[in-house]
Amino acid sequence: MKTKRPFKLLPVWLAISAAVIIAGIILMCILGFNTSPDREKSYLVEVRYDVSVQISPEKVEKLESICDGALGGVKVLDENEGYDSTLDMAYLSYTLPADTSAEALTSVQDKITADIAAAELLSGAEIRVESHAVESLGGLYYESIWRGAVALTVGVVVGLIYIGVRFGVGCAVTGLCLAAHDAAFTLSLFAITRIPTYFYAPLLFATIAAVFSLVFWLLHCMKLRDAKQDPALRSLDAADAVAYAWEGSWKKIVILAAAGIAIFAIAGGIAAAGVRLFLMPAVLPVAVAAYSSLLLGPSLHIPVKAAFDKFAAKHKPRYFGKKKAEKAAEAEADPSTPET
Amino acid sequence: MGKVKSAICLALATLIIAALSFICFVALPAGGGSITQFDPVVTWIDKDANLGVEYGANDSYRGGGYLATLYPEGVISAAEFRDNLNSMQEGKEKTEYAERYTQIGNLCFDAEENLDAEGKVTEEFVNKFNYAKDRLTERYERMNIEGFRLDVADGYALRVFVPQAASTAGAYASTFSLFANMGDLEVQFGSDEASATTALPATGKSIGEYVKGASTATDGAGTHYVVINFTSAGQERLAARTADVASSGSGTLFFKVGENTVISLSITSAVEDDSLYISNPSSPFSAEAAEALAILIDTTANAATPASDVYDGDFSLNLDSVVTMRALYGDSALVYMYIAFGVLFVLMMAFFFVRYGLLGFVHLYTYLFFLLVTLLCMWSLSFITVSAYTFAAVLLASLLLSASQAFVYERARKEYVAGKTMSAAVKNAYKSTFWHIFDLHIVVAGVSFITYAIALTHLSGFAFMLGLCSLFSGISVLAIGRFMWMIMMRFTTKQGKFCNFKRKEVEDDED
Repeated sequence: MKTKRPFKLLPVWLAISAAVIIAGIILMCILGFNTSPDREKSYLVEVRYDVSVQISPEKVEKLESICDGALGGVKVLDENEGYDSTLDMAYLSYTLPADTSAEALTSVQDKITADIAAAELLSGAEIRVESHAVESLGGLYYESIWRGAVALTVGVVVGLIYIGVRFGVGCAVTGLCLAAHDAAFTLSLFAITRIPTYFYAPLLFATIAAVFSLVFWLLHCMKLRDAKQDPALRSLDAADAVAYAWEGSWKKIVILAAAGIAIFAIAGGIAAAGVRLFLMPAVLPVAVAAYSSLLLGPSLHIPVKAAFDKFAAKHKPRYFGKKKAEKAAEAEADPSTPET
Repeated sequence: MGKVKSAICLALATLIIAALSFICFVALPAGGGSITQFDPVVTWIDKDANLGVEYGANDSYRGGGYLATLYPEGVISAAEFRDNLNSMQEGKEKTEYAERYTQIGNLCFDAEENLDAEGKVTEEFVNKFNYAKDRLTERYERMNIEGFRLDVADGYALRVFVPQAASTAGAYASTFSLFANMGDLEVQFGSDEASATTALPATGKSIGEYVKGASTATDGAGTHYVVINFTSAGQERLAARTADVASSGSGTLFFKVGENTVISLSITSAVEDDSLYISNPSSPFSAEAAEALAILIDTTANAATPASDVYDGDFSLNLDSVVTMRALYGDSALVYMYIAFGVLFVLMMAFFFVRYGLLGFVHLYTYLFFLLVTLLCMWSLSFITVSAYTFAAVLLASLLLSASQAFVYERARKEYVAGKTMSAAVKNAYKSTFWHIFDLHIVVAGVSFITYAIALTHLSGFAFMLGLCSLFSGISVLAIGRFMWMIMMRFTTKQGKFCNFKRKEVEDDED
């Protein structure tokens, strides 16, 4: 069996991964992720109006249009409304980006106050227009982040212990490297590309990457075990065995990855903006897991498998019982042997 | 299994799935009275407050949450200052009020209390504010409320946002004023608050030497308790201090944080146990209220730095306003999420019907079983909410289920094309793929459940849903899918055509 060209390019894949992960770690340390949807710093323009005085829906609509008009010259990140139960006042809020100038902010506040007064919308009703500089205390989430990272690590290690028991320690070692790689690679991509995400989301994306990585790697492992159990393929060396496994699993991985990407893209495309911000970027971890399973994983597993095969050959057990596959092959060759 | 038995099984499976679908998705009129409608299960499941959808009595629930603004003592907003000033009559009082406050940015500071001679915020005030900020952060962090947010506004005001889940609507709103209490914990004993004297701690000692901490407990009847645990020194001192209650008939223990009493506990005998289980018979604690009270006492008793080391005198945060906000993602985010799910469901079924013909019905039954069981579990497990990430977890598990089904079908197709009978092909397909499917599901479920056990909030919710759905997916593929295939195949003589499996030379004609 001829070793496929992509498998000979381990240094290239390692170089790509190292470059992305190192750049990502540096950016993570310096800039962190782009958590702009969580508005770490922003300005808030708040308008409260007294609802104890009867205000017609038309006047409320007019009030909102006055606010929208005054905010026309600045970028508004989002707007919300509510009810202030302490002051018994209706509440409108407009979030402006942190780079809004002080002059623009004052001008917006003054214009809203002046326009409302000029329109005589709320005669007799109290109205309050305020602006605030708001800074989020991101530190609140640090416990959930470090615990999440520990949880993911422990989960993946336990998953790989299972893989180690079922498919061999070599498969578990490569799987661990791939899961760690995919999680780190995904986080790095988010740090580098500055894709806006919620504060909690990068860890979830890393988890999605690790889960897909495990699933894709399991597909390889299954084919590798088939090769090991097949008497005709048992003599294959590490490179050939990995190539055989790749041949049998790459289509499944591509189809699964494509389906995963399509699902997140379609769901994200239809969903509301806030949900889309989580679903759309989830295509990245799936793509990363597919890349590592198709290119990096097999290339990495060749030396790992060779080393483990060598180790196994050196430490052969003294007693060799007939393996199931051999027995089955013999039974097939000799029909007179009774089935057990 | 014969045709008749298969027909009975298929009819039963259809009836069960139809009934469950009805319960899960269809609203039924109740026929008058105070209840006008039975809501389907999907509306009972808690939703992420950000998603927003109207339901509940008179559409009372709309997602969103509560936004509270807390100002340190001696600080008010510029707008409030302006309003107060405008409402005052011209005169000495107004002049004094105007002179009392100095505006810095959007805040007005009581100059005498919080500003130095140069009109700058004093270092003591900054220390007080930072202490309050850290305590508030610690307390809300311990509450582990998903979607919670704490902001600093204008440098010296705190804004707390807690989401409103349908099951906890309003439950967290009480935490705003409770957690605003700053200062050290003190236990006083006496017949009334005015005459009560300090029981714990002893002069010159810290409360941590007497109170281990606080937690919550729930008894079999569902009553929630705040449990305060004392050290042996605390137990001895409290027993000695409350010993004379037997002679006086009754007394009250006042648990104070700073100057404010957070628990008043009437006792009729001396407190000699190392733990106090406190409930409120007249107005029972909700689970959230008991937890908040326990966290307040625990964080105050075990504060790394007592308030008395940071500042002298009294200090607390004042609750300025509580705004009930609408859902962050808009009112229709949940509806769009359902539409997205519907579109993906239709695409999935279209693929299965086109590629596998009538075998698509087997997948339909299998998937509906998976979906309905998942929905019922989401409803029965109170800590699961419908959110963007639980939605993602269900989508991932659906992908796992569909891929596993397709994996089995393709293997069966291969066996069938190779010349095996349909029943042998199906049997061999499941036999040869069983461990593959088992491994895939068990690894995903295992990783997910372990992650759930350790992680917090969003990741924990995502991991639990993924683990649960993987489990159901595995059961659905290996048990339900196979069973449905077996019984549905009994009704056709052209089994190859039923599954859209084609042999190269010979048309399917076996039984």
